[in-house]
Amino acid sequence: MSTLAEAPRPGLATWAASVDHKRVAVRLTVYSLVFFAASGILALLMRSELAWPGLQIVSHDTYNQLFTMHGSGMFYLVMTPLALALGVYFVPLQIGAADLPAPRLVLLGELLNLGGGLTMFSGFFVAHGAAKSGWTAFFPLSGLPYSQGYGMDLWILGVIMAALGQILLGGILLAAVLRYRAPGMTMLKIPIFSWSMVATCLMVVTAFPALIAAMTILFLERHGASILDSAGGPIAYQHLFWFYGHPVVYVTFFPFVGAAAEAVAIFSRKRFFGYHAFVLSLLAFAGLSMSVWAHHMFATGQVLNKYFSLTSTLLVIPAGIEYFDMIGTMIGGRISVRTPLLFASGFLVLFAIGGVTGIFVASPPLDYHVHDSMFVVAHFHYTLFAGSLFAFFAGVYMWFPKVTGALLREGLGKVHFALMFVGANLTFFPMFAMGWEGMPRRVADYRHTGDLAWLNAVSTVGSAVIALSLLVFAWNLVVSLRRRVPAGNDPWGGHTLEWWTTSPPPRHNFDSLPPITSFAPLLDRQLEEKP
Amino acid sequence: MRTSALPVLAWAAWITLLAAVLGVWASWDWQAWAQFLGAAGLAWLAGIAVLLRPARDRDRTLPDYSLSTVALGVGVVFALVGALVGWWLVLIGAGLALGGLGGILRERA
Repeated sequence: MSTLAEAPRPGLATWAASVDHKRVAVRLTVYSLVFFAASGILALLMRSELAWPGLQIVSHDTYNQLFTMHGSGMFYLVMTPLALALGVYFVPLQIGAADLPAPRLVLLGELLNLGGGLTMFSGFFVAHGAAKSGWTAFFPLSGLPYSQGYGMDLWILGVIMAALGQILLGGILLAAVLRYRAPGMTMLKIPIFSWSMVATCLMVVTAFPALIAAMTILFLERHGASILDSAGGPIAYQHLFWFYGHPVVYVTFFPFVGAAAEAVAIFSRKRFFGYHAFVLSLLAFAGLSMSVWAHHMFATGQVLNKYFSLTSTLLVIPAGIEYFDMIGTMIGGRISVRTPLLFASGFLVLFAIGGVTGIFVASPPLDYHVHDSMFVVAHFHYTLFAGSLFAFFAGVYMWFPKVTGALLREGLGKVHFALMFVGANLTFFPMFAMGWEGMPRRVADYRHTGDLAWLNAVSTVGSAVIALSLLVFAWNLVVSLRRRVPAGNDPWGGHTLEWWTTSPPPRHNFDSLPPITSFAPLLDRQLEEKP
Repeated sequence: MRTSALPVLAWAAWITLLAAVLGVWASWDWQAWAQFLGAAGLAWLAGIAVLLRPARDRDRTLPDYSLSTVALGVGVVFALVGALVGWWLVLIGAGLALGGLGGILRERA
């Protein structure tokens, strides 16, 4: 049994410096949600600018900063940290550990991530404004002649810090699952969510160093070195960037798939169907996702399109297995239509649209047509917003009682889901049509031709509906925390070890552990106890 | 053999295979396959580390908070921003980071 080094002293400083994995995860989630709000406001400004042709709410230069900081915020400071935060909180609980290994390094990872975010956003307060060359910072656009001022440099340094922090967190989570499991928990008794974190962290530790290399080279280039300023320089940068830039899409997806899969099993009151196939598909998926990066570079003509097209198309196999397993879990289950299951189902529907359109753009001829158009914007928002964020909320509604000891309001949760589902489709579906009609991404204005005006108007209305849905969620948080409905240890009849302990769990997580008979030990007990 | 290492090693083998196919198919695009092989190398190292590390001590003392780690984190952030702002901030950051490291060593003692 692990012991506490010293009695915790109450106070803000000790709370902020706490190395308890649960507090670190809560802080990381809160910071990520603040950056989510900031990046979301930037998106609303962009949608307002595009609501109708000829509007000029912000200047073109400001618009460039808006889309850059929106995309950067969402990738580097929201979805990746949120994915890792879920793991930091729930992996030790699911594997029956008292804490993560190297708890001080976990805190360091969190601080570097926060420092990176503040550094990136501080660019808005310097001359020439924040970075404006997109979240990809392609060279030479991100070079000194085209991106003057400290904003770009602050962005680069911020990305380096955030990535360093995320590598630390990913490495520690991986070590936790591999080395800190409770006695009796073999590799094939690890819960689905924790397996999704293994696949995620493998990508973090092997792909994220490429981002640090790309950013370091870019920083040096802007400060006098001549590394990228050659014939092959811009392509070399793209190779490095996308080697991180594609796997990160799966880093911001797998943990939420894991959360959605847990929600599907719990609210179908059934053992997860096809556990072994799901685990294998996660690892295969993660490996393939490392091999597809240059499909973002089809249009450069400098990569072997057939290899990257083939590996990108192969992704449909593990993705299909995961879908099949989740739907198979629901079939024959005693389905309880609670908010977590609604969000998980929303994820299944919406991510299918994102995934299928991903297969379109995995084909070079189709990609040439829609490259750098609003079609691509629609595609990745269906995967990241309409997909991952729905699955994230499935996890939030399912695990909130474990974290706080209080239930979220079910009625408000369903309103949140309905508004977000409608808003996401209103916002992002018209973008497919805009792209197909030839509207490029990253433009602050467009001509009044074809259907572009009304398509953009609908999309802007949709973004307002999304904002409204998130306000409902915020209200739900406030109401549920102020007038608490006690949740008890296990309000849902959970399957995995986190539901064994108190809500919220103590510092050392468990006073005792049940026998670990499978990847769903608590479900095994429930079945045993039934006559 | 530690079974914990198996998924990492299997994954390393999988991406090595994918990198090798790219290397054979697009030998001219050396950066692409070289960086992919580099990542595969990292995966192999992670797998071997799991394989070789002795079993952990299950009884351990859990720290509750670490102000020294906060000092280290703030120091690293200051030192990195100092690369842009000036040496003075690099030095403040390095000082904080060193102080934090010293504090962590004391906490662990």
